[in-house]
Amino acid sequence: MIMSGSRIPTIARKEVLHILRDPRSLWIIFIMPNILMFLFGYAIDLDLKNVRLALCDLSRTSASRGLVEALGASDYFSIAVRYDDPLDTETLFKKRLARSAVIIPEDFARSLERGRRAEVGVVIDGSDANSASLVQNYLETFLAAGSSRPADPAAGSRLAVRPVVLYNRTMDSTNFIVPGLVALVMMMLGALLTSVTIVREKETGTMEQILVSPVRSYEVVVGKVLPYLVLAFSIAVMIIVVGHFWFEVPLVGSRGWLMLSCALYLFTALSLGLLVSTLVSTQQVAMMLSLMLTMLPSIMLSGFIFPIASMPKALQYLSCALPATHFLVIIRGIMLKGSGPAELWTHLVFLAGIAFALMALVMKRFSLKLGGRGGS
Amino acid sequence: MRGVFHLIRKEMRQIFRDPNMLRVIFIVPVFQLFILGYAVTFDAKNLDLAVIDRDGSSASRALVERFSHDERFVVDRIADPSGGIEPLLRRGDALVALVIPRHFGRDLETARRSELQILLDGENSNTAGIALGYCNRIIFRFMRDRAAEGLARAPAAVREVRFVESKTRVWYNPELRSVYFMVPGIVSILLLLITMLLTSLSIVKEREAGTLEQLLVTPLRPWQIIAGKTIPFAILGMAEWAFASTVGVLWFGIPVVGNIGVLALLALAFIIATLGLGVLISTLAGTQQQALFITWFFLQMFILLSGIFYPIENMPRWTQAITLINPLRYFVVIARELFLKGAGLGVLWSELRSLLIIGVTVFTVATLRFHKRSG
Amino acid sequence: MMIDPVSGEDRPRSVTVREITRMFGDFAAVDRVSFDVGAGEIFGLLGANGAGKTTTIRMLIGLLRPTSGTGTVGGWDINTQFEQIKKSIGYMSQKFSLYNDLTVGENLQFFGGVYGLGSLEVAARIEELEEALELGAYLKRPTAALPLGFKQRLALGAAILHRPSILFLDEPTSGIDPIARRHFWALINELAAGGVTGIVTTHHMDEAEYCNRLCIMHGGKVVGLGSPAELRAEHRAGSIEDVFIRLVKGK
Repeated sequence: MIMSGSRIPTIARKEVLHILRDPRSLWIIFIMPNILMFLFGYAIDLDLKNVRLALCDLSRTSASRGLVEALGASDYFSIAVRYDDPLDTETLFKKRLARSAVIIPEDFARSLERGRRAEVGVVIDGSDANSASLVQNYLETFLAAGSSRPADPAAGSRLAVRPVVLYNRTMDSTNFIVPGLVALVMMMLGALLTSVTIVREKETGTMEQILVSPVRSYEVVVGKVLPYLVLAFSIAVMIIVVGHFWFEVPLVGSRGWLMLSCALYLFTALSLGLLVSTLVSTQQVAMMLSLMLTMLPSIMLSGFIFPIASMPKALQYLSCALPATHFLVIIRGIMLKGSGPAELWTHLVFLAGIAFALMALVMKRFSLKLGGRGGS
Repeated sequence: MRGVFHLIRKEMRQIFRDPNMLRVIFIVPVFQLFILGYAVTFDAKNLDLAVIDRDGSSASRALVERFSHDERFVVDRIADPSGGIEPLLRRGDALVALVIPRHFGRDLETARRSELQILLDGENSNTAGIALGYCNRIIFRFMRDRAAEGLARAPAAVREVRFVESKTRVWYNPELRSVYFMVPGIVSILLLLITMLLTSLSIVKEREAGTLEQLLVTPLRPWQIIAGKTIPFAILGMAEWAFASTVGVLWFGIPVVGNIGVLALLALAFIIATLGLGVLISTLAGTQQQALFITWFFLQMFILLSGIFYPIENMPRWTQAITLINPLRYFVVIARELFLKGAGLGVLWSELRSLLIIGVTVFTVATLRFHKRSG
Repeated sequence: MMIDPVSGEDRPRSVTVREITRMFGDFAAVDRVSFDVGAGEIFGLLGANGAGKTTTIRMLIGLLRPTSGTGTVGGWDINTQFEQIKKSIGYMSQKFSLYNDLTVGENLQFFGGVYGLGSLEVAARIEELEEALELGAYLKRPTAALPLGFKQRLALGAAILHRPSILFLDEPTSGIDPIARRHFWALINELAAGGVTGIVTTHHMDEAEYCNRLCIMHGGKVVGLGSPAELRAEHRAGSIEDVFIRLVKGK
């Protein structure tokens, strides 16, 4: 393909004017990722703290009080309600006064003295399953670790457990959000905006106008799409820069490979956008479709937030077909682990494969629709 | 009222005339629901755990057994790798590595200091944290059980040891299936998306086409035009929500304990707030694309700060204050409490009130901004 | 009161405009414009693009608030009673502002309904207007598929379904071929004969001859006011176009 350079810049320039004349959108595009990084950096925390416990102490002995004190002293729990009748537990949950209840039975102290073993009742409000399982974990670990002696991590022995976290020593959520954001933003700008901009011309009828002029159809597409690519890429770079210098996200690996992978991923996003534009004829539908097909899966299925290993097999396969999944592995690998092409080559190949497959599909559809100059 | 009727009829005709629109509203969300219902879970399962057992005693083997039997981990016993353990994690072969030191078994029995090392790939801090929690739990249970069986002999310490076991019961969701909680949440998000985005796009589209101006010249008052734009999407949104909820409930087997009528009423309150936001956004946007971006902004914020994925109680005060104006936050609570606990209006009254306050405020502001005469 | 040129009788004023001004920042889009329009008159607002014609109209139909000045439309005050104004006027915008994804019939039903007509009434009106509008055969066609001339007739039809006494037409013949244009003006004349006042903006100088009276605008100001004959005589010009050029050059 010989790029007839003369017309692409004209079309690109018009598109740039279009973009610049829309300061509101631009503001949002630039500010959103920063706000998200900010939120994840400072506001969002997955560890539960101060879980509201309801406590029913039927024993009222020094032993039970010791346990109660330990619970209260822990960072993880806060005793929100004390009540006397275990039957009231349900009411407490229904009124949302507490997330879980600890019921110390009447014979608590006696059981301990006699058989060294006492049972404490724990009831958990399972409706918020995520928190509930964490709460359950905490409570059981707490109790199993020797609740009467909070300082002693392992009952009756000198066992220590030393966790070492690699690649994200501080377990900062920003370290894991920043790569995800890059993926998300590039997908959004690459796919969503490209599809909308092309469909918009279709809708307003100006597409016909352009097609009738000496401009060739591929020049139209390239010219229209180029400014958005540049925009998407700049924002991605902005996120990485802000993430690295402000939020201290590590950038261990090769920057060159990082940029290359971003470009490849962007190309994929772009193909998706073009594909959507050949399927729909109004902006509204283009937006909804792009949102649903690109954004939601990129967030939910790519391993961005939810671990892929926990998904059913069928979804794991689906996840493999998503460009975002591979890109995430690549970008996290490069940034957080310092991985290079040697470790990441499978994902790179996958990503390239998806990109070319999509583009081939797009070309086919485009030539079907625009080829005969019969309209779009 | 007649005017509103005509507006609604026109809008409905326009919506139904576009087959893509219907597909996008009804089919795609349900599709998403299926996928997300399965994918969206914070329960970590099948986590790759590499075990480097430098001891090889019966004790260490017993500990490893505990991990093998736990469905959350996929255990791979590895001989001490020469290249060090870190590359395992770097390559992604394992998420967690458990290193059992030499003399582990002996140290246990003689109450000497011993140290288990757990290496975690912190790339996804959520999962890493959860994985660590699981490890801790398994290890401590192991220790407690061994101590109870007297296998860990620590004569002096034994007297101090008390074993407190918990008998845990989980109510409303005994298997702690996060799906029970996620599906109502996801359905609410879809509802939010449709009502907010489509309403604002529809109004902005008319503005772009010039037909909005034509409407403004007619005897129609601003409130009538707004009603004519929002009621169709209210109907559509409710229909989609009912459809998606039904499919979700039936497919995932979510128990519905509460009163559906009350839920529908509360959903209506939710929709009023979100539609109002759609109209407000339409007064802020000049083009459909702008409307899209502004809606996306609100959507993103609302979803993140809704309590569906990240608990609100954990957030700093200032963030919690922001969530107070998030209608999704209230509706999520409503959906959850009603579905799983059968909560009634009495308990959910404060949520209903908040939704109504937001709805009325937003609609008032939007209507005022919708002024027929500029300048 | 104005004198009806035919009957010589006093004609009630349909629209009065006094010193109406509209500022956008420091820029005066409309600058102290005054004129009167008699009932049943066809009044043309003539001028180049950007002269302030559309802005003037928008102030009269309640879309824009005048920065200063007063006026009445159908007896109602444009500053305080614009809601009443809307009930008695019809408006055709430059873009024809029709719903492209609705059929011709649905568009008419909608606009008729919005002005308070029941579907039977709308159907009756369509029949009445059949000869003039010739849209009967196209009722089920989607508006998007119509050629421009048809869209124009549809837009006009939508504007007169409710029998308004005053019609505001903003560049109603843009993009229309000469035959269709003439046909359109014949319609307007018919309506005027029936007592409907028509206020039309245009930048086609030849259409000026179709109007009873003209207001020529330039740079937001009125530079000429009177019937075509009067204006031609005043400026000793052969056509309104010449009048216009002379007025504009003079400034």
